[in-house]
Amino acid sequence: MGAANDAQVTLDVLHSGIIWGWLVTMNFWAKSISTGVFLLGAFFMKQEGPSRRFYRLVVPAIGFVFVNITLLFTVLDLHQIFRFWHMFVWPHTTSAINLGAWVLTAYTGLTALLTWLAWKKNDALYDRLIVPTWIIAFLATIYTAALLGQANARELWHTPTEVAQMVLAATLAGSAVFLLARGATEDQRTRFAWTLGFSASLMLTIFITELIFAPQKSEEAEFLIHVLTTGKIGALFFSGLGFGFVLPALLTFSGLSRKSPALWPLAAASSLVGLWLVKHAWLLAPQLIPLS
Amino acid sequence: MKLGFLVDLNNCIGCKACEVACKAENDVPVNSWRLRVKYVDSGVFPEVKRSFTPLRCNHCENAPCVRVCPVSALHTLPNGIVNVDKDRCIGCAACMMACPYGAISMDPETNTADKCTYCAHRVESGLQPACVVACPTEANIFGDLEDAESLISTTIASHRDVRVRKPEKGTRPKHFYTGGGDRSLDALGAKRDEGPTLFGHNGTLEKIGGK
Repeated sequence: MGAANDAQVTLDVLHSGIIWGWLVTMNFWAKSISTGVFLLGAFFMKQEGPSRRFYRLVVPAIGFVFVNITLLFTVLDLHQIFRFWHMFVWPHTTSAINLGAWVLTAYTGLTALLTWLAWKKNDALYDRLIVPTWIIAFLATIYTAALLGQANARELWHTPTEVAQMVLAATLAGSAVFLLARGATEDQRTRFAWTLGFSASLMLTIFITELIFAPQKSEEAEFLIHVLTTGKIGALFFSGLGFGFVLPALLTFSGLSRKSPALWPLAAASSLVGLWLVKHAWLLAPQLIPLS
Repeated sequence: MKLGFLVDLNNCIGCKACEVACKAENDVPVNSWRLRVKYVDSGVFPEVKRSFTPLRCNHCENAPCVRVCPVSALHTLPNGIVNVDKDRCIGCAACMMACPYGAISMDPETNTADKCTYCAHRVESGLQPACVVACPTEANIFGDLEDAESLISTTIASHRDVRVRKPEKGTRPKHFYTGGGDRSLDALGAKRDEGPTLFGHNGTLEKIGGK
């Protein structure tokens, strides 16, 4: 025992450890791709006017596939996976998880319908559904911030910029997928590269200012920032910042200034890997705080 | 009626009778706890002190676990007890993320949320919770906080150092302590040299019985 004022816990029960692990990270990551592709794709479709058939089909189709991946991992993470339907039978409207379940269900249905309409070339109904689906996609993007905000025990998830992080994660992932996909024009690829570069730069800025320069409001938050930056999660977190934001920003802006789009797929792949790492670190760190 | 707990830490001797009574009464699985007693040591030999802090669900008036539960498996009874409906629980663990007191765990046998219910089944029959009955020093005081004549209300009124854990969380706990300090009641108030996995290794001592 050390100094007289050094109290030490000498008996306590086992810390519950990581409860929300990589399955939940997959949820966050796949949802960023799904809604990001739709938010950006629908926006550019509207902006560009009548777009090519390829985009009208691919945008909702990718949204549909990745939202189903999101839902799959969400259900798999439940300790009672065959009771997921309780969400709809006994809905609790103060719960962000429950509201998110309804939003994701609506988004899944709408993207499925849009994919089918694009396949059938029913442009009139397709165009009427784009804006409502965009709004639902936006809600699907940000509801996770409300969910994390309700996790009262996990200080770090309550940062004021959590919603901005969710939106930027979506624009980052969405633009990355478009840069990896084939079929876009040079002009479209340039716009996606700008989007990727700015999303990566803004996310990096938010993390640095929130975690390093901003004063923390509680002892718990200080503890968690230590865990996230210099503790056992540090390597994971900084790898995520590097792959997710620093490298993509450098590669996209470098490609834009030198007019060498060959770097963009590399930036896109790096950003998707890094985003997963950052989301995972952000998920794990607050679960390592002792609560007793 | 608003039921609550007051633990007089001056009386607690760390015997863990409450822990055992709770496990026996509620058939709590091995390696799971609804109530546990934390030991905190302070001082330098020979001037050392050990304090004991029973920790259980705080049955908050503004319970974050109730708010976050997507299926209302966690719900508040009219008497203020935060109860859990295991048949409805989907095991999403959002309550474990929300509870700032670490009072909720995942029952390894039912794969649903598990926590102290103030022995709601006993209370319904007019009995005291099992931990209260088992305590040899009457450190646990249980009763109606809205009844000014109840033992818990009069004890709270007569002590000046009554406090709750983490009041800054805005949960309005109905579980009070007297005779405690930051070292025992604040989760970060005392060192944990082995980090969050303290006592996580369930090994055996190699040198028992000599070399």
